[in-house]
Amino acid sequence: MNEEPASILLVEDNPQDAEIMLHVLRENGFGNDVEVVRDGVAAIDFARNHPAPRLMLLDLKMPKVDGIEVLGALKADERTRSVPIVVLTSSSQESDVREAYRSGANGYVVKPVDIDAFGKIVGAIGAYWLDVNRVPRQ
Amino acid sequence: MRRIRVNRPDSRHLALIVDAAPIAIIVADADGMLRIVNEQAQKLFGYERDELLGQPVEMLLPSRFRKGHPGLRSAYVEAASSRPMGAGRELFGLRKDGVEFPIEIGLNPFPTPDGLLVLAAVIDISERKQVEEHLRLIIDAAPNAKVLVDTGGRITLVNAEAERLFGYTRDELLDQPVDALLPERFRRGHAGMRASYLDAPSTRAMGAGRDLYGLRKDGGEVPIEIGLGPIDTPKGQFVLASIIDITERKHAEGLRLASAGVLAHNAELEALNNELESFSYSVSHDLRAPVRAINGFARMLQKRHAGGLDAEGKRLLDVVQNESTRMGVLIDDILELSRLGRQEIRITRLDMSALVREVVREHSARAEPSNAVFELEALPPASGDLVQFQRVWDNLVSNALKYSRNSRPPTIRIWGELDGENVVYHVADNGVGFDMKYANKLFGVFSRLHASEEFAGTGVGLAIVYRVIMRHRGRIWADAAVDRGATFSFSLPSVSTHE
Repeated sequence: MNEEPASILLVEDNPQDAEIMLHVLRENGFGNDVEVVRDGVAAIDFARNHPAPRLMLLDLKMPKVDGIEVLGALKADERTRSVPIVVLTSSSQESDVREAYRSGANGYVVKPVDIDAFGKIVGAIGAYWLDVNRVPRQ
Repeated sequence: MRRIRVNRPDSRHLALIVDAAPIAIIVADADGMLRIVNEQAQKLFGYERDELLGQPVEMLLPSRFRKGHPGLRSAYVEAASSRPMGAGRELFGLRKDGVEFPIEIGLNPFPTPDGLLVLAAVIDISERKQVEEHLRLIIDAAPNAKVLVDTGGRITLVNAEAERLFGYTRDELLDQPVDALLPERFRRGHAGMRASYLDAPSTRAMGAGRDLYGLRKDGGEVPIEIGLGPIDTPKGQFVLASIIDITERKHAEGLRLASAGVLAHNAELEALNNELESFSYSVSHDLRAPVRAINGFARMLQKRHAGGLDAEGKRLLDVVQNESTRMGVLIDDILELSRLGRQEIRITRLDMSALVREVVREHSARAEPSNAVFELEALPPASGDLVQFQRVWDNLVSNALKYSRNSRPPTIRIWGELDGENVVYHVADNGVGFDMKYANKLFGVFSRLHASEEFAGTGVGLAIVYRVIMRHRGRIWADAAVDRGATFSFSLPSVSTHE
């Protein structure tokens, strides 16, 4: 496989949320090579079978394989371990935050309801992981 | 000389009627001279009939009342009507042997051709007074709060402990509906419960199995236990409520449960906690997502299709966006409140002065409003959960700033003191204040005393403060007047009694 890696892999089961995220990513200049998958199985599958994305934005609550399991699988795998994974979720439960970090998340952000606030956060995450803190390619 | 006797009341006839009455009756003329007295009256006052007839009625009064009485009498004669005498005053009669006794008097005017006669029914209330006096003594001497309530639900007697517990003076309580001492949420069902108690009155605990709370004048709530007992007096039936403040016990129970390690109980608690977790999870996740979609899609419509919308269309879209943003804030606040309720409290020693300085510094940095003046005094330390008290101070300071932002300049004063076993803290502002009439609504979730157009907010901030203080065994109250600023105060058990 010789394709260019996607900058961002967005794992989001809720189509409305996915659309909003794409909108704010685009507004922040990160919209050009975003790959969207709809569940945990597809996320693991994509990460393993394509060049590793430079950043993964991961929803937690998803059917079948949830975000925590995705984290576990990718952080345990030599090939995908260094992909920065930022959890973007609606849940502000402490147990979720703790579990996500224990499973290797690089960040945990509660999705704001207000789209302007959402845009700012996504802009900051993108700027940090894609421009400031560059992760070595595999 | 012809005497015309037409229409003249037959005084013998009247005397017969009066004599047949089961209570003491005296009849005096407009000049206050006794014209008729019945057997009962003779017995009551200890005189023979001959000793009374033709004498001024004042002879039946203790000397201290005699001087004013003719004046009162003529005023009555001028505006004669049937009414109880001496409304609001205690009346006394004087027996021949010089003994005074409490009486009640009903007056009836009785016009006759040669002037007005006044018929007075006199009731000896010594026995009734004795019972009342007895009851008052017992109630006053009781070591815990007692409230005597009549069958109409009005407060008839209270003792000093009740004044202390509820923060009202005796005068403020007497004759008030007892419901005023209940948090609003309990009031609706209370009349029905009182009625069913009166149907089958017995000495028993109130609200078996339920947590009861009393409402203080300052709006704070106190966990209480209530015992009820029926009391029969010559004045009718009353219910005596004995009230015990169980704030301390509640806390002790909490400690016992936490430390006993009773497995069954822990399992139960865990199940309950899990239930709460899943509830607040569904609030956070399942409610947030659709609200976020409304907000986000409204914005996308605005950005991408602004051309297709006229000014009104854009305005409507703005409303959709703003309201969904507000709902997001509400959801976050509810979540925080529910989290506070079950979060474990980590007790540490709190340097309240430092905490307040930090909160004030943050607010000043945000410059909202920029001209606010803070007057901070050194605060006594306390013990409690650091994070939760950061929230308490943050909410109290934001609140003070919010409601004083139109004052010139907004001035917030924060001070504290030791008060016996407690430490007390105060946050006072010079803002719009509020009517104390609504003080009981201050700490409820979503209850607001000002329109949200005037002062933004979700109405959860003070509910959060209240919950934290309650979980720390403290009390919180407020004092305010419209346009005269507000002072919020809370007390906590002082450090020395805590560990």
